[in-house]
Amino acid sequence: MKTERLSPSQIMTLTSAAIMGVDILMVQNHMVSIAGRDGWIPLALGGILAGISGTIIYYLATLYPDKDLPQIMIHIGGKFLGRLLLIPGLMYMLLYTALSFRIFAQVLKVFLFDRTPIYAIVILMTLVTAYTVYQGIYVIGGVTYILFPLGKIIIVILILLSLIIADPSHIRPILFENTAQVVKAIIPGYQQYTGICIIGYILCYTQKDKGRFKWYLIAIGIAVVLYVALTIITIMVFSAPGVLSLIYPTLTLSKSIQFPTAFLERFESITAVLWIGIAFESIMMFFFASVRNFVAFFNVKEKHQKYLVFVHVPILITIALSVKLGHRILEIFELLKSAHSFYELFIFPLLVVITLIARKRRQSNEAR
Amino acid sequence: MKRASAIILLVLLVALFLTGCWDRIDIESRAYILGIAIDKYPPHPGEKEKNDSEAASPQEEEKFEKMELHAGDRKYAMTIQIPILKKAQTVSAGTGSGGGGGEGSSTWEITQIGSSFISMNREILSRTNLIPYYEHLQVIIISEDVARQGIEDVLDFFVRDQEMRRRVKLFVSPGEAKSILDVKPRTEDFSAMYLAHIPMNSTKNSRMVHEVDLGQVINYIHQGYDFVLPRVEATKDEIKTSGAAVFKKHKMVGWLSELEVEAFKFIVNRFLGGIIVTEISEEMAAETGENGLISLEVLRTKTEITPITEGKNPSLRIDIKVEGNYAEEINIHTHGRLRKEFLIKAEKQFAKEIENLCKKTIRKVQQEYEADIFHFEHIFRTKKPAYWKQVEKHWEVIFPELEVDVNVEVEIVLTGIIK
Repeated sequence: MKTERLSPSQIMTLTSAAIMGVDILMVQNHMVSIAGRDGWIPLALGGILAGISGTIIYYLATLYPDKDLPQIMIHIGGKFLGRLLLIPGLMYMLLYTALSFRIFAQVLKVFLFDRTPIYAIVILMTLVTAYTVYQGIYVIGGVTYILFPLGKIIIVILILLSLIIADPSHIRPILFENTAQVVKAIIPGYQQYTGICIIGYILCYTQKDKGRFKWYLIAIGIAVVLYVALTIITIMVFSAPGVLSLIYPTLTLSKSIQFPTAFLERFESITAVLWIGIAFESIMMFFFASVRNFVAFFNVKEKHQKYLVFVHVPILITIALSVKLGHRILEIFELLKSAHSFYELFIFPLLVVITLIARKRRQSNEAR
Repeated sequence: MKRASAIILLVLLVALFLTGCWDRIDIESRAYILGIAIDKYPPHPGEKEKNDSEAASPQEEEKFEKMELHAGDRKYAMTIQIPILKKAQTVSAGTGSGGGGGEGSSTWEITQIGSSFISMNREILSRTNLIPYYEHLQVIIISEDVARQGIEDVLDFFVRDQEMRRRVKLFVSPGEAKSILDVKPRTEDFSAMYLAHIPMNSTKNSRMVHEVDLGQVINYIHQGYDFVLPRVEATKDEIKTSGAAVFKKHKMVGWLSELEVEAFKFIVNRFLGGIIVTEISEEMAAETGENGLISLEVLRTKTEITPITEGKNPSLRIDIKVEGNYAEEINIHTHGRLRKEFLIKAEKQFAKEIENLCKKTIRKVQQEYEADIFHFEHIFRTKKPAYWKQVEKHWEVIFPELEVDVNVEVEIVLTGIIK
């Protein structure tokens, strides 16, 4: 029995927070590596695709108002096929959460705590996140509601301050002899918004309100606008070859802001601190989704969900700490996202079609 | 009772975790590196000043400065400047004992000789009880000898290390780079801070290159662009930055004089303010009855560069708009007679002066250095991409012969508080 109810505006904060996670530090590098100085265009087009794909997921969730995504899959596919369909999503959420912890710890180690061991950061972050997830979606919604504006405002400030050192000529010429690469980069651009599927996990906890869909689209819109603006400004500041050489362009951007006077000399420390909040919000959502996947997969009773949070903690810590790949982890992270995007683009529309056909058949049978 | 014990345990645990910090380093244990000087080795930097130092003998110090190497040759001498915070502000100007940070000095300059900068940095740890900390680094001074060999390798460590800041200012010294750090400025404890603040005067003085920092230089190198870095020279207690070192790709190829830097800044639209002095024209001299000089205090400039690809050879048109105040007249006396017609002629004369300066500088850079420090390449690349595609591979040949037309318009806004 789901007694907790999220407000429609919390759909916006939760979805947007899920989309903009640890990726916000390196989205520019990935896009520029495929589409060069035009990297922001496929990111925008990928955002439109994310809007379409997100609408399908949203529609699927509204077809089963009392179920979340993994429950819907098992309901449609049946006990065996449904679980089979769920396995890739289950693996993705678990690995995405674990790798996010690892990347989070790695970045903190590089930029803030160079002597603190990775395991200390991973364990602490996992425990804090687990505690919030243990408290349930309502608490997650509340925490995100507080953290959300801080994180987003700092990104907007970063973009505005970077205008001082930006050179717009670095994004010119636009689309010159590069259309093929831009088209090739649309799907990787879409992959940067994989958090859109979170709506499938939270819609059943939300107040039934007509404005829900509007808030969901606003959430995607915020992520698209901020990602695209951040990518454009980063290319303007560092140029495309410069962005390619940076592993975490967003943090380097905050290190590069320059005023003629000695004002705001250490802007990166503010960015790094608030980024912790941004990453925390996103990881929290994926952690919750992973727990929900396990609940559905093993048919665990709702009241026992909290035990699955405890089960997750050692698994996530083990995965996060067993990865010994340094920066290659970012490649694996991208690979994981691309695998899941195909899942999102094909499986969910298929589920919608199956549901609609089944309902139509049922209606015609009933009419007979 | 059980509940109280649990709460006490929880509080203790929280206290244990929240008060601990793996990365704790006491503020007084850090060596806040303010400036770095990079010289070529051999010769050993600072030979002269060591002879009159009351500190360790040159031989003794050199023994410490040369490190054992895994690989490569001892190519570089890196000197870092560390402030001795206890002595800062308490030492009156001029009482410092010179380089090396002898008794009474508010800084300590440690030199390390080696093949790689990170290993030199770590070797310094064997000579000090402090931990080098680069987050407050202000300047990197590179000697001409090192700059002519190329700076890409030199800067790699400084860009790669997360402690470094991309806003660190870079300078090139025609002589020994360490000698700049050895300066004891009269108004400041630390020469690195003193040097870092000089470019802030670029709104009033146009003869120094400002806004060139580590991040920008690395961007230029990544893009394959030529660029300039400010020149710095020093006496025992004074530092002067004016003129610029010209870099082709990442290797220094020559110098620009102070006036050429002014022209450079007009062309690349980075002129923040300065003074232009010109002789009056014959027509004006006839009007005033005297030959003399007039000065323009430049307030604002705006440069637009238009690539022209029609015709046989490519060319560029540079339009520079200048706004300024009529600031001074020498050997002309227009008191009460400064009419509009005179000012219009003065505007033309200033425009001619700037135009000639720009043309002369462009010609010198094209023919002597063949280095596209104005980034004309970038103009063609961004504004005429299709044309750029055709000529990209031949740019090295095209640039020295490129026709550049410079048009300057000057507008005098005010004439001070007298007519």
